[in-house]
Amino acid sequence: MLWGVTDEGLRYAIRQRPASGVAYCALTIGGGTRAEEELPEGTAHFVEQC
Amino acid sequence: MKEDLHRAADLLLELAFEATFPEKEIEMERGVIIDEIKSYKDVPSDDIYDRFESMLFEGHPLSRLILGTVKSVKSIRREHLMAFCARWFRYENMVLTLTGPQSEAQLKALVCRLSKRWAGSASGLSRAGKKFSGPEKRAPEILFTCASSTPSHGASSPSCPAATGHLFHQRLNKHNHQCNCVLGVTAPSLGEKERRIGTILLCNILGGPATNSRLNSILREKYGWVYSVECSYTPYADTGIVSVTFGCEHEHLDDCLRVVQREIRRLREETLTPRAFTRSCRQLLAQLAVSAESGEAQVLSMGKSMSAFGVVHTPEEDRQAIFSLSPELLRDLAQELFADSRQSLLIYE
Repeated sequence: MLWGVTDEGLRYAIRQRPASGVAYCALTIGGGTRAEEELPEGTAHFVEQC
Repeated sequence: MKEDLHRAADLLLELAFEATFPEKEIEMERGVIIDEIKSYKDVPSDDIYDRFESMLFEGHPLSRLILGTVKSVKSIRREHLMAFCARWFRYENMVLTLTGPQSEAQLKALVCRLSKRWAGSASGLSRAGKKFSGPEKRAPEILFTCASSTPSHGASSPSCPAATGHLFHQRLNKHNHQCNCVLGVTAPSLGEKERRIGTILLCNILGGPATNSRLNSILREKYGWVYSVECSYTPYADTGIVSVTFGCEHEHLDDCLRVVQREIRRLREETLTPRAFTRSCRQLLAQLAVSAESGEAQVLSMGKSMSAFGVVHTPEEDRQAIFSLSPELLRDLAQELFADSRQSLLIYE
């Protein structure tokens, strides 16, 4: 398993699964409902739904 | 398929950085979300948990409803969605995680290519200038900024209002066929490693997903009073929440509450035997191993771990962290966590 930060500042983690025929990827964003601040309640979920 | 990994990862980044939110799609999605909000209202077990969390953290951003309200969702405009993305969808606030049969060198090369490709959009400069007129804000690099670094017996630093939460005992007459109940407390935050892992183990023993959890063994298997009972733990940046949730017939409510309190008291007063402690640790490790079999669960878990801690723990590190706990530590943690004076209760009758 490897993890780190690219030169451009993107954090990443990668793991080889040798026996798998399928690959998976995810983009995790550190901002949800509690980060809405002055925006209307439900904005983060609305973005996720879109 | 593995051959399409680069396309899928590229598409994820495109969605994050190039979303245009056409008005027609916003209106369609608004209808879907309002329908979702109303459907939650018809599921008391979902509705009661949302209400409990809102009451516990009232006045703190954690009290906000994820779905919002019908009124707030009706007020959301395209510029709100654009502003949220401009503020938070940036490299310093993101983690890209990949798993697959490719070598780690190949996977890393793909990450580097994508990182370069989207770097301009990820800086937020283009969107900040074109689409978001609000103040620039830098996202936190590490989320648990408020967490106490010492194992004090307060949940988090005093500057975090969510650490202690609000205390309430409330019964609402909903005229439902079943009673629904949430008993909960504030809990250790993400940054409190030993206490966080101890809380995970305690919750697993009390009401984890396995059928041999104490509450499931008694309330469901022995008496048949509930279809399901669960003790869950969600750690946040500056606090956490532990809750016991169940639904039952009205006539069994007091009996169920009595059993829940009795089992909580056992955790507070009785020290696990070394054998029981070891078996509980092994069961938790097995659950983690089963979860890791899913590639999807694994990339999500890696992303959360990187986002919260800046590292991904190996299975061996997880094993060491769990076995570094002790029966005495679990008992002391239960005494603190589930003290009578900290428990809040919400019942739908």
